Amino acid sequence: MRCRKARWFLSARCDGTVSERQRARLDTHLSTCAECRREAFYFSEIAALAGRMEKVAVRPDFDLRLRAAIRRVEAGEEKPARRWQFVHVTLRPAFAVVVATVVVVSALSTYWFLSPKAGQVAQRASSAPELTSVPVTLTPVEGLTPEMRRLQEQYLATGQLPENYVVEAVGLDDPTSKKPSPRYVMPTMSTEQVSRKDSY
Amino acid sequence: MDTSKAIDHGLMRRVQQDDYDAFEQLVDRYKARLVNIIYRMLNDQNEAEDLVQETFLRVWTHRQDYDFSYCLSTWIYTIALNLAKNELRKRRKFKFFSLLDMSEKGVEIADPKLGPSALGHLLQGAISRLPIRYKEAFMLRDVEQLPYEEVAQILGVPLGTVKSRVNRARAVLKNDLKPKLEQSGALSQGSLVPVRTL
Repeated sequence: MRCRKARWFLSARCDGTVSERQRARLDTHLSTCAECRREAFYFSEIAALAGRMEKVAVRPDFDLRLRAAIRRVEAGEEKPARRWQFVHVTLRPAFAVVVATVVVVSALSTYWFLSPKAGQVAQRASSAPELTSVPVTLTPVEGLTPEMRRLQEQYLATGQLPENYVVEAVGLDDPTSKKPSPRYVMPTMSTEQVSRKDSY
Repeated sequence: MDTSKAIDHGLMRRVQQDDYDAFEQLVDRYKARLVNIIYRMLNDQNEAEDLVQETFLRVWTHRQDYDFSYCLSTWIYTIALNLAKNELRKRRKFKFFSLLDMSEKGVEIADPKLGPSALGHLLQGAISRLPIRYKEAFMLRDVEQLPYEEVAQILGVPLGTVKSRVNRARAVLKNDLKPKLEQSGALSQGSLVPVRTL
């Protein structure tokens, strides 16, 4: 018998549920294998320890409490409430950290929303200048104002726009490309907006 | 029918006729065993006694539903273990903010001199860390010394499954306790023990 198979039978050997033949083969193996013998010893020790485990004494008032509980149930009263779980409960460190984080975050956000600074930021966002679009195409677009046409031609010729107009993206397929694709209407925004990184 | 089963059935027949004295005798026969087994599962004596009280309350309330084709012990153990399992599940749910499981960890802090009671504490700590299905099988078989067949009936699983669970529980406990026991030197002579004494 090999060690692997022998160890499979060790637990059954403790219960005495192995057959005579298996037990004989197992004992032969154990007499030659110190490691398996050691394992068998641990198994038998754990089984013995479990059998000898200290018994808990039932409290003397158990019967009285049970009788009272039965009387209450028979009288149709509500079942006695078991001790509330939270009597034993105190905060665990992980929970305390989570609670502290939630409290701090909510305090900070309340402070931020109530502070005058928050009002100023909201006001500034609403007073952002309007966007201006300059259509830049390789082919003429119908209905362009002369000013827009001039800007478009200027951009196509020089690749530049006046100070108040900034190219945000050029090209339908590749927005980072410097060459505009046909039929692409290039949006622009003022330098003020770009420098403030306001929403577009 | 063995004596114990016959006594149980006799008492239960009287209980069914609302004989409270017979019920008290039944309680006396089982309360210590049940408190111990549930205590080993929950590591809390108050909780264990509450659950055993609840078990007997259910036995009394449902006394007319008892089926005499089964062992009374099987019925009572089944009720008690189901309550204990529910309690463990509830604890797992609240584990995030409960200290209940810390008491289990506390068991691990055993006396390093490893006398018989310290070994028992170590074993109790290791048992409390077992998964429920292994724990209940091990408790019924090795601590309560019930036959495999009855354990299978109580747990409502096939005999082979019980054997396998007990085997796995023993293997887990062995692996868990081995380093501590070897460290203490208590069992380091295992390989020198003659086969016939194992």
